[in-house]
Amino acid sequence: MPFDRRITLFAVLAVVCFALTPLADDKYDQVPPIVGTGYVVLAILFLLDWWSRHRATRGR
Amino acid sequence: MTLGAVIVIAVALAFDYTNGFHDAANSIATVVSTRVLSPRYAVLWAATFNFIAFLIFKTAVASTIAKDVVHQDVLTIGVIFGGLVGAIGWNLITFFLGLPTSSSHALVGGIGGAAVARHGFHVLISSGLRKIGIFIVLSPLIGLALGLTFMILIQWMFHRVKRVDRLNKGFRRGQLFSAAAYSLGHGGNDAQKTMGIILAVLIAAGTVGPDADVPIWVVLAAHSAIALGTLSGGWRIVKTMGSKITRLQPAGGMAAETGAAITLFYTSYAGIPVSTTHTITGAIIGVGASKRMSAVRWTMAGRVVVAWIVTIPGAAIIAAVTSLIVQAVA
Repeated sequence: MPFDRRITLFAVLAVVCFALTPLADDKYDQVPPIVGTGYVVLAILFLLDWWSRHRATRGR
Repeated sequence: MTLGAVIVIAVALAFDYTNGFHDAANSIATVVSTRVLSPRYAVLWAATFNFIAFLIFKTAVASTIAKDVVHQDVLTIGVIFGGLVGAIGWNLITFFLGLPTSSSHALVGGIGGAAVARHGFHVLISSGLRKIGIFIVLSPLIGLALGLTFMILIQWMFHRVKRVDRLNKGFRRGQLFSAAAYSLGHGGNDAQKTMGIILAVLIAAGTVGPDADVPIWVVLAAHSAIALGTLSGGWRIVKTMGSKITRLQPAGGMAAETGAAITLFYTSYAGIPVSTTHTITGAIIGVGASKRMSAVRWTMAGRVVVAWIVTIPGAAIIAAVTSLIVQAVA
């Protein structure tokens, strides 16, 4: 089963969000890491989904 | 109030009108493309919620535009006029080039460029510009994450339902509410940018004090202008935002509009001017990405990134030139 490219996309977007954190002022500095964490969660969920499908396909 | 101030306020309201005219497509395209409402009724629906947004949102975004981009003592009528011309000029250029640029970013670039041309870089307020700059990138990314999450939740909750036609009927009704919420967010965030400009003009003209809130007539005028723009022009330029980025069904339209609306509600509440166009684009990409990577036309996403990079410098250059011409003439 081909690798799900969305996992890479979400990982890259998470890195972008975390990279913005030092630039944010005190009032909003928690927003970029929260959004970044959301993308990390999405990347992990999509990775697990792809991995389970990949294993099921190999087992056949 | 001087004649110059009156002219600049009129130009600001015209800018707001064109914003409604141009951005109406974003709020109603999915409702029209999924045939929930006819274009005429969809425009009326969006314009109504654009207008009543003043009842819900305070004027934090307006304050950011008026007080957090450049130091107030350099915001003269000439600088504000230069900034507006820069924003309008840049919007016209990119409209013909087909770039999905943001009026909000153009406005910030315009005001900054006009002020820098006359007084130098030290007049820029770095904390305000950092806040705006970070959310230029973050707002579409929040929209994308929320659109994707809502779409996955919908798929997960209703995947066993066999009566797809009945389900679609429910989502069509739901889209009425999500489109209304998005129009509220659009009116709340975009009309406030014009309020910010008019507030700056009133402060520069000495009509109100530097710490004054936005007068109610300015709030009503800005919301009326954006609603009238939506009402009069929007239906002509509905080229279905939905089909440009990814093909949307009623459930997808609802997920995208809800994700974008939540993003706009937060940013309007926090006083952060963001691009409503980029936010809904991000949310629609999120809905498309919930299916598969190839369901999204990524060229559109690439064009949004190009728009991020070129808008503020582009509008700033036009505004700087205009500002120097106004100074020379005056």
